[in-house]
Amino acid sequence: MVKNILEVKDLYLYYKTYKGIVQAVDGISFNIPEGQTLGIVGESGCGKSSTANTIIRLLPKNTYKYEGSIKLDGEEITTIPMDEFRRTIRWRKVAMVFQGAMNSLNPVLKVGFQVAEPLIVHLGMDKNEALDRAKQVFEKIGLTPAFLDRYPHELSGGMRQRIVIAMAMIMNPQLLILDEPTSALDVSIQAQIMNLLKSLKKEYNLSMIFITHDIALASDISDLLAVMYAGEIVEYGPIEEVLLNPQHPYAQKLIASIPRLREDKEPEFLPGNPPGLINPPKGCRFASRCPYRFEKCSEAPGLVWINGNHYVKCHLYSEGK
Amino acid sequence: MGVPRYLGVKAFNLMLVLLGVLLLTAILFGATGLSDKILRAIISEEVRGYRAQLSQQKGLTPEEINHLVEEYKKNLEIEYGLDKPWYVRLPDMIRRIVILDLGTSKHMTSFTGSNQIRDIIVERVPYTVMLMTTAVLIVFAIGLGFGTWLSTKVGSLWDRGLSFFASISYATPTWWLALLLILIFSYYLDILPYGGLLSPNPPKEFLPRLLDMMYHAILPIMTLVLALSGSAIYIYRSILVSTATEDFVTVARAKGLPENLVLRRYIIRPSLHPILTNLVLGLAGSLTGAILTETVFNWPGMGRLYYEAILNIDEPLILALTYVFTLIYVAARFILEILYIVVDPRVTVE
Amino acid sequence: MSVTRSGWQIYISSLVGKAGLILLIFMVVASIYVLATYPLDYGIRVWSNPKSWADNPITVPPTWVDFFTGRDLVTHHITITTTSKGTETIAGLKFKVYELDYDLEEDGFPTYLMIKIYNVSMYSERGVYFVINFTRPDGDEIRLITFAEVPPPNSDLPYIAFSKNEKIIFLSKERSVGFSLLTYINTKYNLNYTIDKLNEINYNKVLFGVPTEEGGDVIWKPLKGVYKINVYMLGEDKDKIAMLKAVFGGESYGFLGTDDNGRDLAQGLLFGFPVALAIGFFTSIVTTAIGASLGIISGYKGGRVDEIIQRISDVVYNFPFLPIIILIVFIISRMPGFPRLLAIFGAIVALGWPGLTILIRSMVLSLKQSQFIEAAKAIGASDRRIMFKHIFPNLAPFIFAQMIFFTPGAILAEAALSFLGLGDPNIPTWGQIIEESFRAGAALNGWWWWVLPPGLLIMLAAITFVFIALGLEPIVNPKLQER
Ligand SMILES: Nc1ncnc2c1ncn2[C@@H]1O[C@H](COP(=O)(O)OP(=O)(O)OP(=O)(O)O)[C@@H](O)[C@H]1O
Ligand code: SF4
Ligand SMILES: [Mg+2]
Repeated sequence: MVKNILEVKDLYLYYKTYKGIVQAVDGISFNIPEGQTLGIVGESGCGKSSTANTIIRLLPKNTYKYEGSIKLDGEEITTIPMDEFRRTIRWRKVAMVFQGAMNSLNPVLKVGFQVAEPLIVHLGMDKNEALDRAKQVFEKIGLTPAFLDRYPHELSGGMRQRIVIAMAMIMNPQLLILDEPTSALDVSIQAQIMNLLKSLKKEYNLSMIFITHDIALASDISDLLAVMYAGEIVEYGPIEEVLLNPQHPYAQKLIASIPRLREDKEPEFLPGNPPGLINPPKGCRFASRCPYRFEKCSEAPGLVWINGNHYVKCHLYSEGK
Repeated sequence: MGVPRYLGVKAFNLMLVLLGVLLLTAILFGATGLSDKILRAIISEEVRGYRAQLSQQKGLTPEEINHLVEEYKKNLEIEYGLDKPWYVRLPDMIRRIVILDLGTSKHMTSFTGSNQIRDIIVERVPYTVMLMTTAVLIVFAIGLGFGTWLSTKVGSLWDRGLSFFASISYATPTWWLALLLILIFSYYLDILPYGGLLSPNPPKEFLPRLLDMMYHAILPIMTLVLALSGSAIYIYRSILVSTATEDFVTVARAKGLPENLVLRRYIIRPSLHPILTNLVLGLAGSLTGAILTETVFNWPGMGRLYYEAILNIDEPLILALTYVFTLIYVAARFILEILYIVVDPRVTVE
Repeated sequence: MSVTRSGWQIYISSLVGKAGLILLIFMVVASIYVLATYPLDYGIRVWSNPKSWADNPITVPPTWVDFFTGRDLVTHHITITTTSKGTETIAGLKFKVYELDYDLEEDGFPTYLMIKIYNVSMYSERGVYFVINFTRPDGDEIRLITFAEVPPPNSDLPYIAFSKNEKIIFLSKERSVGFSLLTYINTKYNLNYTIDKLNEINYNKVLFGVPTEEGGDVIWKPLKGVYKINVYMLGEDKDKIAMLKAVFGGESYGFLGTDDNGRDLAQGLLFGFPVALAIGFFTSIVTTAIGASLGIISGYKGGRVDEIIQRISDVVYNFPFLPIIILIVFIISRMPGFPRLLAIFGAIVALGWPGLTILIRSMVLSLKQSQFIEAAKAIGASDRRIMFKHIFPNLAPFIFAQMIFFTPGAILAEAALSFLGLGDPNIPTWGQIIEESFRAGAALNGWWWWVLPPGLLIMLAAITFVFIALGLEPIVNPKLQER
């Protein structure tokens, strides 16, 4: 069996606001074997980006609770002091492509320098050498080296996205987190970027977290799938198992809502809204929208392992139902 | 849009501003009959000179002199266009303002004794520029320093205190603050001079003279710094805070860049455009604001000159000063446009 | 974006909003008080009229500085009498006697002593003869001055003297008083003062004090108690003085002291409230109205109109504010009879509108795209109707906030212009009062009461509107509401 590049266990991230505590990530657990990609899907606001930020430890000022275990390549990284974390983990081991990548580039610096900058800062490389390396990555990614000298505003959205990916790849990270890398792009560019990511994955045996609210897109690249709902992962497992045989009522609805080309079945529509993350309901968070809800659902469900690497968080599957 | 074209457009717009000011002043002066008065004064000055010159010559009877003078005066009136209504003279009027050919001041002379308006103004410029530039640069350093510091403390007690302080500082008239400081430092503590450029018997050598001048500049500069710092800190802080929330700053942190590099390269650098706007417009604004500060401290710059011109009802001088102030303002704006090109690659793309 | 009840709640829940409102109420109450109690032509009739202040001490601090000086300052005192105490015969001559009392309670000297005689009616061509005596608490009576007054020429019985201008005798300065005092102190206290030496110390110290020896020097100490000024008049029986006034100069005066004309600063500064409010309100209302209308027209109409408005507003927006505004006010006020405050008002408006025009124009441009405007157009509403009924109401809260925000600027601009001597000397605005204090060198002389209060009031007025504007911001700017 391949080793796990990432093991997350009981991870929490709460924010403090003047309205109350936002339970954005509420005790989630998952693993990613080396070279595999985990897709995280869920509705807007369910805590996907917060999960990603927790791994690279980009915590906002109003963080209220940050707990749990994150093991990267077997090493516990939550206890590493901040300065060391910055120097040894960020970008060297974990890189990230952020949501809304249109604004991920500094408008007053040339993109080549921005791509090469981590080499200079982390490895103490000199500027020209670093730019040379950036040039190589540019070529890999299908950008002409001439772009090194461009400013972000001189480039199209698709090109900027490629540059952001080049920037993430420059240090050969062990884990690449992609937070909705294509949501701002039009469909044809989206396809190009997906192909690029797939080829990178294959070529470098890259481990990735791919965050999206588009489950079809996730299935295109992922080996594992985590379905998030209101700050929790309600189902996690190998992609085929989850897609073909979803267990959690929410995952079932979500997957049924994917429009399919060959079927005339109407996509299913999920009525209602997810609960707010401030003071969410005590029991199952999906209860208000769940067609199978029963008494026990007023208690919080625990993880139920379906088999080896597939769990679901629902009372339907717990013992003594 | 290329750089030359961009600058061309900006220069054109600024020329319009200058022209606007000139038109406004020319119309105001013309329509109120002040321009007639000014021209008459210039003519009578020249006529007096002519008469004096004639009376030096021998062999002319008083009648002959009077006759010649009358003739001379008529010619001058035609030459200056006093025989035509003011709006016909408008272009010429503007031309005179532009080249500062406004004749002589009624009451004031330059330090060297000339009463030509151009001489009077030109020698005052350096004093104003010196005083104001120093003050504005200090304000800039304080504003950017504290602004940066506070931008990392959004929502803290300090931060909330700042917006209160900025309101107070905005509501404080600079010229009144100047009087207040004179009261404190010159009257009660008696440690700083209340005004002027130099002591009554100033030292002759260069260095002691310079020191004496600096000693006299302390209070005016202190006034300006106190009056302007509040809003400066507030503005720079707001600029930096709004940049700090940009996605690329988060990305920079994720890249593992040390915090001071993030601050420098990813927060301050991209904010340079609005920061420079504030610096340069602050400078331009304070040069014109010098009218008040210099007045209180009797600092012999253009501002004090403006005040004295008002007191003496010296129309040509006021007209000329307004033009010079506008010129400085417009020049500062243009320098700003050039600086934009340096700090912000986006500006030439519209 | 409409101001609703919840908008009001948001406003009043903010600390600055509350503070601003309280300050505004205070200012309005002060203004109403002034409008109700002051004459409308207060400036000319009272403030600039030296007669109104003739009895006041000059450049003295407020009375409450007693709390800080540790010594009771001598308060200003005026004694008036209109009736004679009776008659007295001295050396066979019958004098009418008028008495003026004064009780010196504080440990200090009155700063001066002045006596004023009004309307003396005489029934004989010989006129009258006055003797003024001064009685001290120690019982000594000093003859200060004597003088005669003959009837004014070409007048009928009874002859009236000092009717147009009262007779003013500055007893603490008068030369003949000096000689009387010299004799008095040299004989009583065995001093050998010369008149020059006496002139060096002020007469008021001698009048109201006693000498003491301290290390070989003579020091004058105030003498507390009741003083009497007796004015003896020799003339016909029917001759009489209509009114006699004695002014004992105080070391302090009123709530805010006096200026170099003896004017009661508290009174003048109070008058500044309605003036400041009026200037602030009117300039900001008119400026905002012009700026907003042009912005709406420019943004909505587009085309040539837009082009022209945009150009002009851009040019005017880039004018250097202070020099141009000074120039405009200066030129307008050179026209005789033109009210200066109106000139200031006009100049602020003339330079103030473009900022708002530029802002509003861009907002209208984006509003124009919205569905309800399209809908209104589709059903054939006129341009004017769309601008007034659809666009304006949407922008109204924002425009209102901008108006408030403009107000402190207008107040400060007026003050600055007045300070530069471009204001109306007949209307005591706060800026005007500081201008006078500046010209009199108040700061250099330590007359803080003439420098601080007017400036603080300007700040107060400006900060009132800054606070209100800050309180309004979260309502008008919905982005901030989230926080
Ligand atoms: N700094 C913060 N302070 C308070 N609440 C926050 C903060 N950041 C995020 N949230 C809230 O936490 C919840 C989870 O946010 P998150 O950005 O992780 O969601 P997401 O799944 O990435 O949504 P999206 O698909 O819109 O990106 C949301 O309700 C969001 O409003
Ligand atoms: S726990 Fe209950 S409410 Fe929640 S998903 Fe399962 S069945 Fe539905
Ligand atoms: Mg997200």
